[in-house]
Amino acid sequence: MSFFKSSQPVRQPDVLTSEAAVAPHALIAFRNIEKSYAHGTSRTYVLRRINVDIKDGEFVSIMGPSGAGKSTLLHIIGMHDSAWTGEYYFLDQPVHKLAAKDRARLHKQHIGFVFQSYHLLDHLTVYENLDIPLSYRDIKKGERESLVGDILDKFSIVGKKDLYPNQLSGGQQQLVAVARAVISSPKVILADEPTGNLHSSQGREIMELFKKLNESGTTIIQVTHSEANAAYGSRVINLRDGWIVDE
Amino acid sequence: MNTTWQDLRYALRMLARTPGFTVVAVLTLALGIGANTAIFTVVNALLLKPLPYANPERLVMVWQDFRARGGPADEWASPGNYVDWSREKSLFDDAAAIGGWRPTLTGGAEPEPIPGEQVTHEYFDVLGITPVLGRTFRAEDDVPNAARVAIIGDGLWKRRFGGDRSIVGRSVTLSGEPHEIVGVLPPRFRPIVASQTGEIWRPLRINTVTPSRGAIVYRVVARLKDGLPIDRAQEAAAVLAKQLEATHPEYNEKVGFILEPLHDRVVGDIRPGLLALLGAVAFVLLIACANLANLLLARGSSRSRELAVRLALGAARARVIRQLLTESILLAVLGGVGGVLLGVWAVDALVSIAPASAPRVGEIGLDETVFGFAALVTLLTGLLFGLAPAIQSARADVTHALKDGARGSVAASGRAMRRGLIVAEVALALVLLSGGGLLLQTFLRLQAADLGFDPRNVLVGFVNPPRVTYDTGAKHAAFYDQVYEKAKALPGVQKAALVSVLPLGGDSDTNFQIEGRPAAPSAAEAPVTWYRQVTASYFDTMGMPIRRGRGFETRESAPSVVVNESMAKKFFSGEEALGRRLRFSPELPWFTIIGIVGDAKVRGAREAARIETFVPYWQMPEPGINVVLKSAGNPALLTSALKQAVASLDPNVPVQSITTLDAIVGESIEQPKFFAMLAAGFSILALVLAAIGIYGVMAYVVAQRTTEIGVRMALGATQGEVFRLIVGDGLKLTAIGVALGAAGSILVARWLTSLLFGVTPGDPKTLTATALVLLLVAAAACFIPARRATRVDPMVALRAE
Repeated sequence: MSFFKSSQPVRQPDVLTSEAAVAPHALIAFRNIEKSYAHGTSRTYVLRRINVDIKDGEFVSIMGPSGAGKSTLLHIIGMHDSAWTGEYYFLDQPVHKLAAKDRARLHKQHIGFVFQSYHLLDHLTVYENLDIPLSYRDIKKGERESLVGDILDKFSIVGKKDLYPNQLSGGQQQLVAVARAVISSPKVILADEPTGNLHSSQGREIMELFKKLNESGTTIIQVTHSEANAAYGSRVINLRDGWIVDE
Repeated sequence: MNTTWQDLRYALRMLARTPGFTVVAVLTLALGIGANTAIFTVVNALLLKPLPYANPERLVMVWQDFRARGGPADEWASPGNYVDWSREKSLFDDAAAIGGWRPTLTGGAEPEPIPGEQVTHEYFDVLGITPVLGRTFRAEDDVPNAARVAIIGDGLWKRRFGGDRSIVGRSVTLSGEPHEIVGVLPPRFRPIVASQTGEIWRPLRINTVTPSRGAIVYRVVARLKDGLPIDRAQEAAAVLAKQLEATHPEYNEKVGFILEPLHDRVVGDIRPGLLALLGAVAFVLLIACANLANLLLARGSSRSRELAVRLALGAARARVIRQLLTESILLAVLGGVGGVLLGVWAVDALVSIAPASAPRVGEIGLDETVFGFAALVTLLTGLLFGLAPAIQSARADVTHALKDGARGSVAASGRAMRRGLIVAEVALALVLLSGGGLLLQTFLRLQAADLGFDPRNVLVGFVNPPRVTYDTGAKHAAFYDQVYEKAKALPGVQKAALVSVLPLGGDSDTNFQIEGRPAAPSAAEAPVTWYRQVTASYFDTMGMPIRRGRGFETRESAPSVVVNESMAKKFFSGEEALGRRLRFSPELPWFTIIGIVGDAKVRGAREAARIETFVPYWQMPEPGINVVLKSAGNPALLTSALKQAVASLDPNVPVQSITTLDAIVGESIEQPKFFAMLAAGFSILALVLAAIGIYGVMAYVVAQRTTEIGVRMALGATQGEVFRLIVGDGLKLTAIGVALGAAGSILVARWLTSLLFGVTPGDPKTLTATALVLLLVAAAACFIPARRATRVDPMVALRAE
């Protein structure tokens, strides 16, 4: 792995637009994905010709310097961002062709998010924070209670269910955030610098948690600056100036 | 002083730096303070300013209390009782009797009816009025057969006599009789009875030796004895009433005396409506304050880093609060100046739409009291909307604010206050809206009320031939015959009639006896009926249906009456009224009831129909009669034709008070209309301010919750769910405000009871409708912030970290 080997891309895609080129068993397939912003007559590229396949059950780390396009890539995978070109297949479904409503359904059904700043909702208790994703998935109240109870138990945070985020340590908050991400049983968890705001010991705990989740079948894609965190995963994608420079 | 100046300079700079905020704040305040200034100006002139008489607090109207006899508490006085009262020097310094008078002034281009009063010579002394020219009346002017004298008002003096200073001593002809002008009154003199327009006075000559006690014909104004409190005077009046009851039981049985402060009488029934309006504008100002406080809280939040830096640099919290308060008071002062300017314009507008019956309208104007009020309101407003946000902002946690300046620590702590303010302003707006709704419904129901007669397309005018030439009933009747014949023959007239007193036009009542029933033992026990002398065509012209029997024949010769349904029901319940006979006094013949006519609400829709009797005018002629013309089109077009027709009979008899019956009905509901229009206007203002407030807070909430919304979207929330989250949040606050406002409305509406008609104070329909309007407006106010929330890009929102 070498981040700064070249300022130019070292590998150009040889498959450009063929749907048939999607790898078998790929959970996520990007074909020639590009994102750019227009500035008058010029154009600034954030991502260039991204071609990547991520299989079900992988633990992938996206790395690169600030401004390389890591988070942008993560948000495109997470379907928050729809202003890009190219082809994106998620479970063989062409996301690039889907209407916003169908994308939202796909995202809701299969993707969980973990953020660097946890982003728990301040005025909701731990229990209510965990209930939020379920409430957006039309799950009945009884089932939701059971799911939240299970996850509280699984993450050993039953005793904290009535506390508000500001009553928890950073590590505990991120633990809840991870619990919130997995409560709707997503196929993939996207984590944006999940340990960025944590002490190293707390960070390790979270990464161990991701590892366990991955071992139990959940695909993990994280953006990280940390080699140590990347080591928990099985694969690293390096970005620089919007290009994949190494994998 | 130095620091105050520095605070002020800094405040000016802050306001200049945020012109959008400053303009919105100043406009909001100007609207609130302007509305308050305008209504207070009216309240000040009508309710607070002393009357323009010497020591007006000692002036009282003296009434005969007829409640124990089933009559009113404020019955006029008989000459006998007036004479007895005026001699009661332990009670009154002086008392004056006042009778109506509307002479016709001739000698100009055309005869001009002049509203005036006949008064006993004490009148001007009681009121403490000194003439600008000549003298007031003397005791010798009141003596029967004394030379006829008159005093004129400033308006008449300038209009008809060009302000001629040699007017005193000149003779003028009033209703055919020469009168010497002995005095001219000052411009601002306000008469007691002919309050708005009175311009001429002559002595009221009462026989003080053997005064009449049966006729109730005068109003009495008196000056309480110096130092005698009104409650003690009232007790003494009660004792006097008992004494006179013992002395003149045939007239004074069960008659009490009531002293009513003149100011209360002048103000009349406009007080509750004005106070309700004052309450309404106070609510508008409170809503404006809530909006301003919310704006300042939001601004305080965005300034938390600045304030934290100030505190970190050693500023005392009190110093920071003072700085912030200086800004809010500066805003209030700018709003106050705008408000007073707005108030000046609004006062003119108010005067132009004020009901003609409203007292003291000519006295409405800005004075030092109004300016003092505006200054006080401005200062209090500045403190009210500025204090809480200032304290809130200065309470910020310095460390936290400096670390987290972008989002601000005040944001979280001010959240509850912001939401509380929205709830409060929604509640206030609902109270105003429902009150306005009740008053509007009152007006609409009064307007639509069935009065029992049809006022459409009817022209009316009063004809009063001078008694000098028309000195007998027969002469009057003969003249009326000619007027009627001329009037009904006018082109465009469909129907014509004559009536002694128009509906909504005054009172005329008499005792009566029913044949075959024992006469009442005393006047106090005798039944009373209102009566009108009419032509045979009256009921048809007025659209009043004959329920049973018949109306009058054109020249009905046998003494006959038509009674209304209320009279038939009250006095002939279970009996046949038709064919029964009535007598109004032993000197008059028995009148046979030949018909029963439908009830008419002759005192307006608010009052129940009276017991009424109608008599052919030729059988009981009296001075003065109203001509009633029904036309197919616009009745006002008949005005000059009617004038010419009467002038062709006698050029010295003008047709007075020409108007339409619709206009008279309209005037009778001018006051509720005035209150309803203003209350509706203030309600709309409150609604707009509340909508702006809700919009402002929800827009701020969305801005503050951008990250949260991003997180929710990242966790799967759809745009619809985010939209519902924001609108639901706004509506939840509105619903709490509506619930509180509904309770407040029910409480406040009780004070409006005296102003309402056809609708109850807690009317559920009004409350529901206004609550729905408020919820709809709130939903609309939340719409734009909610749409903005749905456009939050989760990627951008989450990146902000």
